[in-house]
Amino acid sequence: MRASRRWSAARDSSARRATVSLVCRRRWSDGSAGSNRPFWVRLEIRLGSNSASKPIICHIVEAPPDDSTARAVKKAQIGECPIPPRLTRFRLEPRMYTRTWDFMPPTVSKSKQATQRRERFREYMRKLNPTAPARITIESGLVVEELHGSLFKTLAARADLEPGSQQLLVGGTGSGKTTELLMAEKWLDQQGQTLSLYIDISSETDLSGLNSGALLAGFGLHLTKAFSSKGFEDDLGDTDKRTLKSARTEIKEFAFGKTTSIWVSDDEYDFEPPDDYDDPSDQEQGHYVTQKVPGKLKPPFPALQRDIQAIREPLEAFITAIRTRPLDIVIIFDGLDRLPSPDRFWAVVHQDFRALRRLRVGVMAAAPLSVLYGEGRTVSDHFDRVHQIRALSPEPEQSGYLESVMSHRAGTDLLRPDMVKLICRSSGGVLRDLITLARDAGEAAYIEGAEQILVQHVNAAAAQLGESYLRGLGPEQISTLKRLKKERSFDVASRPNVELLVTGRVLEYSPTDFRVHPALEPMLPKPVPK
Amino acid sequence: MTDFITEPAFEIGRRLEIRGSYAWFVVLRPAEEGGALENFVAGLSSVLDEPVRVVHTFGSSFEKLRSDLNESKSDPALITDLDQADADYWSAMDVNRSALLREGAVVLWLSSFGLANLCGYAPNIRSFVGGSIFNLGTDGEAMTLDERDLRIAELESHFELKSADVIKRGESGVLPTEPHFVEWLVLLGRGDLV
Repeated sequence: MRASRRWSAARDSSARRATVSLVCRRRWSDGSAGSNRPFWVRLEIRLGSNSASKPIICHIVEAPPDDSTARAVKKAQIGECPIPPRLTRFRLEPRMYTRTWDFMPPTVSKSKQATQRRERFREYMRKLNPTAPARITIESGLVVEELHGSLFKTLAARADLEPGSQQLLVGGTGSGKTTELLMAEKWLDQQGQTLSLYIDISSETDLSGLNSGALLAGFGLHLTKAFSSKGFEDDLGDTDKRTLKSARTEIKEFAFGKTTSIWVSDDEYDFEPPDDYDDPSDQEQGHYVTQKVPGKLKPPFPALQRDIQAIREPLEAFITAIRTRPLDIVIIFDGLDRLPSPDRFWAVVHQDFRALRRLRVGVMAAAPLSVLYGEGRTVSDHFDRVHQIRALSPEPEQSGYLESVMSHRAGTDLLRPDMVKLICRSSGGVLRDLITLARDAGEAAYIEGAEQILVQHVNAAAAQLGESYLRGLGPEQISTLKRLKKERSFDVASRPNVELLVTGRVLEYSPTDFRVHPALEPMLPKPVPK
Repeated sequence: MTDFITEPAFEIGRRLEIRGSYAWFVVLRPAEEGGALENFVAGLSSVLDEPVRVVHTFGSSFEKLRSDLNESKSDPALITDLDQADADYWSAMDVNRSALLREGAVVLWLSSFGLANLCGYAPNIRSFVGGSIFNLGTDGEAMTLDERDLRIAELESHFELKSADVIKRGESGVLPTEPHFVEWLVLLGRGDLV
């Protein structure tokens, strides 16, 4: 109705002074008849005569690819299609031109078909959204739980059985770490013996400037929030309530900083009083100075061990109160895997994790893949266990898990089994790439007017993904990739090579099986013939 | 060397629309930018039927970008000036990717140079974008004269009306307001009669 009113406004208020411009585009198939791709017309209507003003209506008309002129004329002759060929679907109908449908009933069914098709693709895209928050995906029941051998249960069980244990989860970008961590949180929650707190630290503070104490600050804030939300305060005595109130204030100040006014004696300043200054000898000379102490979640500033000690006591007050329930505490830190190197990761976590170990708070954390290789191994040695998510095998005979993801999310309505296999193979077994490819292939099919996803749609999606992996690579990296492709040799101890693993250009299937991402491999420049 | 698909604003808008929430795109701007950004934003806004918000990053901190982007969580937002971003800026965006997550679409307006920086220094954002990288094209947006004549002939044939009659009815105010008649008038250069 909104559009309809606007249309009327364009006609009436401007007294035929609306500017209507038309932009049309046709999608022909390889220069042939043009009957298998949609035809589009776009109308833009602006008030007045200023063609640069914002259009108040953009009207788009689409015709189905299978409606050839001849067929439409035939339909028109038998009264089925009383409107021009190639103008049989109106994207904004029937909202915009309701009246039209009163005398064009056959077109309504066409419009319904178009709407149904769009809804079918929309539902497919909704289920295959690689950038939707993992928590939404889990809650929508779209996750295949046993994908990585129920890794989340292994993580959670270890935390459950060994209070205060510290575990790392590593894997390439898009391998599914966040999903596993959230599933572990959910599992622990279901057991009822643990208070588990998931923190995506990078959504709360600037991770690039993160310093020691920031993880403890984040933990403290989530801990106090959970304490209140779970109603733990309700049955506390007045003394305990006062203690925890004070501890909460200290934690907040530690996280966000505080502003205090302090008295400064003028003796501390090089203060020269004016000649006519009346010196009241019974008053101390001085003034108040406002001092801002920055919080740990406002980087950057230097890390100090004494700060970590300062937060320990208020945290302990809450931890003790929770243990009387009796509940263990597990903190799950996500986002730390994006820190660019093992050194940086260690600089951020080592003091905070040491404090958490002393407090016997269990830790699970996403960590950069690079802690598994070369110098990074000295970092992983500090943890009780390091779990790795490898790429899943995309080989047709072993791609059952990947295919199960597709059937669980997408069904078989738009995707034939052979297309599922093709998508699995092109994804290299990387979860996000699998979902990205499936979505992009669906999008290509929708744009082209196809009713199902075909091989050209999958290939187009894979080429786009491969090209994005290729960009940003230097000649040395390309040589390494070519060598890996040709000779299957890959030195995992070398730092530039680790970067190729971290960025997903090289995939690890086993400690001895490294391969170039299958979407990237065909994009590598071919040798110039001599 | 292969390249990314070239799409006009209109088609990129269709892609955004069918995806729904949390969509991430890179649009590679033309080398000669003169008005390209404004036209793209106008085209995209038309297709999506809602204004696309332009978020400038030039000279501002990551924190500013985060707050600007999340000023509204659901509208489509286009981030410009990222071609000037250095490795540190991309790296800050990358490690803080979660802070940029929003329900509305995010479009990064980049040159090839900017894209190379994104792919080189921001692997987590690259992973989010995936293959959703498109060269901004204009081919096929406008109708050629032949196409226009063909279309007019089709309309005349179907409605068994001459274009002159359509203009006459338009001038008399008795032409139906259905979209194909509007289209017809516009094709005849008489959009003023709508």
